[in-house]
Amino acid sequence: MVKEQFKDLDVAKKLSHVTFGLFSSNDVQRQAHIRVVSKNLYGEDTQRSPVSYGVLDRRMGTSSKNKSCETCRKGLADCVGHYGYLDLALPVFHCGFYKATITILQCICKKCSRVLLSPADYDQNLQIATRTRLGLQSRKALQKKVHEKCRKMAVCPSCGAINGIVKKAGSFKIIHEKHRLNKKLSSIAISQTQDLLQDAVESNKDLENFVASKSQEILNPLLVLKLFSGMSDEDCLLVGMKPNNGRPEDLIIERLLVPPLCIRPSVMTDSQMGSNEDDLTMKLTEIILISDYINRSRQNGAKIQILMELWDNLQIHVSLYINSETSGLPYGSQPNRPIRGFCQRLKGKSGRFRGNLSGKRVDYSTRTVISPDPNLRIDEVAIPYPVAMTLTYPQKVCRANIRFLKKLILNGADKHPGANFVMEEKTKLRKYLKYGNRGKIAKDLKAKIMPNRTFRFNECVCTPFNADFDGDEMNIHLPQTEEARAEALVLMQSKSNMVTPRSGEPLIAAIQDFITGAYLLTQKDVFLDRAKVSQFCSSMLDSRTASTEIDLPVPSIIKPVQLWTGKQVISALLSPLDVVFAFCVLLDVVFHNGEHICGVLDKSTLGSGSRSNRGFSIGISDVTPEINVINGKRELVKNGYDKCDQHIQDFKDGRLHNQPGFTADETLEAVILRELSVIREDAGKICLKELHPSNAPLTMALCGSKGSNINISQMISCVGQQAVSGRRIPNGFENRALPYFDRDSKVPAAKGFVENSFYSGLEPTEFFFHTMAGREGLVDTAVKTAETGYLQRRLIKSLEDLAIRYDTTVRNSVGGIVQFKYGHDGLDPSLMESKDQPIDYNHLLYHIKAVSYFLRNYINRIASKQPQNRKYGPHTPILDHHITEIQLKQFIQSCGNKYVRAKIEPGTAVGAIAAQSIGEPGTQMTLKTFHFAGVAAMNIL
Amino acid sequence: MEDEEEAYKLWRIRKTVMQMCHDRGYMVSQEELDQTFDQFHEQFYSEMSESSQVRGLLSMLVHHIDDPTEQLFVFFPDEPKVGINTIKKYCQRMQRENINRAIIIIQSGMTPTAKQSLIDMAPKYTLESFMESELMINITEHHLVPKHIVMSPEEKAELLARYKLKEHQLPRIQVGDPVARYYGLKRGQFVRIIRPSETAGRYITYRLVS
Repeated sequence: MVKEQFKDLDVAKKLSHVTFGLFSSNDVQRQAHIRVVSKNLYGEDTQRSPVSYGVLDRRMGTSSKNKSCETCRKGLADCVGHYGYLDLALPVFHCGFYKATITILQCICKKCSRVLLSPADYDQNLQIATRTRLGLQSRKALQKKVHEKCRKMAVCPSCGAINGIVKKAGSFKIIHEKHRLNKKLSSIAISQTQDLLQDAVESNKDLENFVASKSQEILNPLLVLKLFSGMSDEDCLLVGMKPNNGRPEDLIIERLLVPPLCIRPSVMTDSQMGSNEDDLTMKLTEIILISDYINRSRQNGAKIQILMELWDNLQIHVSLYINSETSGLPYGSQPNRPIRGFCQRLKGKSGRFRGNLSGKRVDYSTRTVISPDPNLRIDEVAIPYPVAMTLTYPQKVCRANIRFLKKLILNGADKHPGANFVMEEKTKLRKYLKYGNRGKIAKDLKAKIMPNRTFRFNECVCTPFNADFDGDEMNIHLPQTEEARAEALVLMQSKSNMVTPRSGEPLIAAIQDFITGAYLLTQKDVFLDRAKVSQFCSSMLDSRTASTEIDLPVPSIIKPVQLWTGKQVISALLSPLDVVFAFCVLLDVVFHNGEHICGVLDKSTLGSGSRSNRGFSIGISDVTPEINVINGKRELVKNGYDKCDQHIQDFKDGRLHNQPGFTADETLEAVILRELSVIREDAGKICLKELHPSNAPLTMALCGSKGSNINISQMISCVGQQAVSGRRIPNGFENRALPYFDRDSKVPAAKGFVENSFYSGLEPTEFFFHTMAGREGLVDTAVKTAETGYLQRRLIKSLEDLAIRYDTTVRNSVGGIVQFKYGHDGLDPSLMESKDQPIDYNHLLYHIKAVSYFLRNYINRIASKQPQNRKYGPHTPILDHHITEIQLKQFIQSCGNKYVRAKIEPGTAVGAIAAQSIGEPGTQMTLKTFHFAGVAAMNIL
Repeated sequence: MEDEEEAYKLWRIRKTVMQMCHDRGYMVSQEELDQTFDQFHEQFYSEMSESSQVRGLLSMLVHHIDDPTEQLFVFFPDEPKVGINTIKKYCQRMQRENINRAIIIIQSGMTPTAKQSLIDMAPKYTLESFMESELMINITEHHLVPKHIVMSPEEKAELLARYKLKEHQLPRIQVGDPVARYYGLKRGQFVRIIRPSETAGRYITYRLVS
C-alpha cells in the first residue's frame, strides 16, 4: 500500500489535447445503455424491485450493497455506473444555453436560417473565422462584430425575408417582432402577418385587434430547432461554433442523459414501505410523466392550450433538473423546496470542484482540540497516545532498522512504540507502524507523544497558525512516503517559517507571559542568588541539550552574598560558555530596552520558568483607584461637562462658529467629541501617574505583552465615550438616545459618555450605551471576515500561477513575464538581514573578528616572539581596521555565501505569497477600521 | 500681451518638438535645442507682425541621423480645428517630396473625418497628431517617467533569445501610451525601460508595443 513514485507508462496512445464541445442527441444515445421510458420507480411486487426501463433500472448501475449492476455484474464499489437516456416528447431550451440560443437567433434569418450578412461582409468574416490559429480573444471579437452587424439587418440578403428584433419575453419565451426594426418595412411586416392569419381572424373576430398593429412571432423550441438544423457549417463558424464540436441544434434539448444510479442513490427506509429517492431521480420521473402526458394528448387531439401548458411545464422541469436556481420562472412554478440540480452539485464551496476534486477528505489524518504547553520546543507538537497508536506510517525494512522494527512488532499494536500491521509483499517486507516519534505533523511540527487527549504546542507558534485556545481544533496529517516527509520537514517546519516573507518581520516571537517574564527578570532591581541562577540556567536546557555546560557569569555583587542580575541570566542563555560573541553584544542593546527578540526563543523556556516560580495575577486592588485619582477624575469630568454645556449654550444662542465645511450641528458634535476625548485621555494619564510600578496591569502594558494604557484607564478611572459607526450614540427613540433623557439633549451623558470606570460600575444608561458599542464590534467581525475572505480568494485565484523560473523571471502559467527579476533584486525578503539588504556588513565583520579573536591573539603571541614572522603572518592586521588576511577572506567568503543563500529559489510560488501579503493586512484592516475611525488612512504595507 | 503669451506657448511647443525629434533620432542642431525665448521671438516675430501666421513658419523637416533619406515633417496648422482639407494638403506635399512620416500639432481639435483619414493612410503614410497642450512640457523629463529606450531589431532578437521568449509573453505598453506616442512607436517594437527601484537601485524591464 505504499505509494510508489509515478512513472510514465509506455503506452501506445498518448493524449495530445482535450476538446470541449456540445453533447448532441446522438452522443447521448451512444453513451447510454438503455432507454428509460417508465415513469414508475418500483414494481408492484413486495420485493420492491425496480421497474425495467424505469429511472432506477439496475442496468444503470446499483446503489445498494447487496445488489449488483446488471450491465457489468459488478458490485457497488466496483461498478462505475452506466448511463441511460430518455426522449422528450417535445424539444425544450437548455437553460444554460438560453442566452447563446437568443444570440444565434439574432444573427440568422428567421426564414432561411442563413447568417444576416451582406455577401461582402460574409466573405470577409468567414475568411477570418476559418483561420485555424485564431485566438480566443479574436474569436470572441469576431463573434461580437458579426452579432452587432446582423442585429441591424432588416432584410435577409439571401431570401429577402423581413427580419425584426429577437428578444426574450418572460421565462423561456423568445419572440420575434418583425415590425420593430425598420419603420419603412413595418407596414409590410404587419400586412404579411395579417395575410397569414386571415383565416383565423375570419373565424374569430376577437383576434382582429391583436393582429392589427403587431406582427409578433413566438419562436418555440421546435421552430428554433428547425432553423438551427438548416444552418450551414460556414454559418456555424460565423456565429462562433465549430461544427465538429457542436452544432447550434445541440443547444436545444431533445434527449436527456439519465445519470447512473450511483450518483443518485436511493436510500431504503427500514420498513418495506417506501424509500428516499434522490432529487435527480424524482425530477426525472416528473419529466417522464409530463412527456407521457404530452404524447397522449397529441394522440387524443387535446386542446392546443393544454398542450402548450404541458410544454411550458416540461420546459420548467427540465430547467430545474439542470439548474434548480433558474431565475425568471413564472410565479407558482418555483419549487417550494429547492432541489439539488446538476449546477448545484458542481457549484460553490462544497460543490464537486472545490469540495471533492480540489480538496477532499483524506486518510492518515486526525483532528482534535488544541491546548498550550510552554515546555515544548517551538518545533514540537504533543500528540496524545490514542492518536499515535492509531495513525500509521509504512516503514520499509532495511538492514539499518530491522532490529528496531522487530522490537516494534514484538510490542504489537497495544503498546506505544509498536506495529499495527505487518505486510509482506513478494520479497520486500513492509511494516505498517504506528510510529509516533517520527510522525510528521500537519504543519511542520515534530511529534512528541504525550498523555491526555489534546494536541499541544508552544504558544509562540500561535501567530502563524492564527490559533488560540478557546476551543480551536487542528488537524494532523501523516505524509505516507519518505519524499513527502522530507518535503514537509524542510518546507513546512516552523523553524523555517519564523519570519514572514511579506516584510521579513518575525512571525514567531515571544508572547504574553514570556514577555512579561523577561521584562520582570531584566528589571534593574532584580538580583538572584546562586541557587536561583542555577535553576534558571538548568531550565534553559531540554533533554537534547542537557549535557551543555554553562559557565555562570561573574556575579555582579560578591559581598555579603553572591548575587547575579537578571540581565546576566539572559547573557548566560545567549552565550552559555564564557565567550563573547559579537551578536551577543548587539542583542545586549535590545534587552536593555526591555524587549525580547525572536530567534533565541526556541531555546528559551526561561519565560515560563520564571513565571511559574513567581506567579503573576491581577486582583481587585490593582484596579482600585487612589483618592487622588478619584478626585482628579471628578474635577476633570466636571470641567469637561461645563465646557460641553458652554458649547451647547453657544450653539443654542447661535454663537457657535461653524467649522469649515460643517453645519452647526456637525460643528457642535465635533467640539463636544474633542472635549470628551480629552477627558478620557487626561483621566487615563492621572491614573497611570498614580499607579505603583508593581501594578500588574501596568507591568503588562509597559512591557507590551497584553493590554494598553486605554485598557488600564477604562478599568480604573473612566470608560469614556461610546461610539456607533464612529459617532456618538444615535437617537434610537424620538429625538433622544434613550427615553431616560430629555428630548434633543446634547449633554455628554445623553449621547453615550460613560464617566464611570469598570471598577466603579456603570449606570444603567451607561451600561446600555456600552452594549450598543460592543455589539457593533461583534457584528463587524462576523460580517467582515466573510467579506475579506472572499477578497482574499479572488486575489489568490488571480495570482496563483505566478512563480519564479530558472532564469530569475516571474512568469505566469503561459510563460508571460510579470517581472524580469523578482522584487527587482531577485532576493527572498524573509532572508534579509538589514533593511532590503541581504547582508549586514558591519555586523558580519564584527562577528568574524570576534570569532577569530582568540586565534588571532594566539597567533600574534607566537608571532611576536619571532618578529620576522609578524609582517607576513596570516593573522597579522593588514588594514587600519585591524583586520587580518584570513578574516578578510572569511568575511568575503561569507558575504558571498549569504548572498547566494538570500537569492529567491526558482519555483517559489511568489504569486500566492503576494496575494496573501495583500489579503492578510486587508483582513486586519477591515476589522480595525472601526478603531481607526477618524484617522483618514492606514498604511497596509 | 496676448501675443506675448501665445509666442511663449509656441516657443515651449517648438522646443518640445525639437527634443522629440532629437530623441527619435532625427538631426536637430544644438542651437535649435537650446534656443531661448528671445532668440525664438527674434527669429519668427521680427518680420511678421501678424502673429496668427507664425505657425506656418514653424513647420519643419528633419532628417534621420542613420538614414538621411528618411525624413520627418512637422506641421503646425493655422486653424484651431483641423479638417480633412488640411490633412489632404499635407498629404500631397508628403507625396510630392516622398516623405512618409509627419507630425501634426493641433491647436484645439480634429474633425472626425480628419481623424479617420489619418487611420486610413496608416500603412503608407504615418501622420501622428499631438495637441498643443500636450507639448507644453516634455513628459519624458518628468521625474516619475522612467527612461525609455527604443530597441533595435538586433537587440530585440537578443532579448527574446536571452529569456527564450515569444513576443506575446513580454509585458506590454499601449501604442496610445503618452511615452509611446512621444517616441512614435509602432506595434511590435520593443522598448527598454530603466527605472529606479527601492530594492535594487535600478531595474530594467522591457515592453512590447501593442
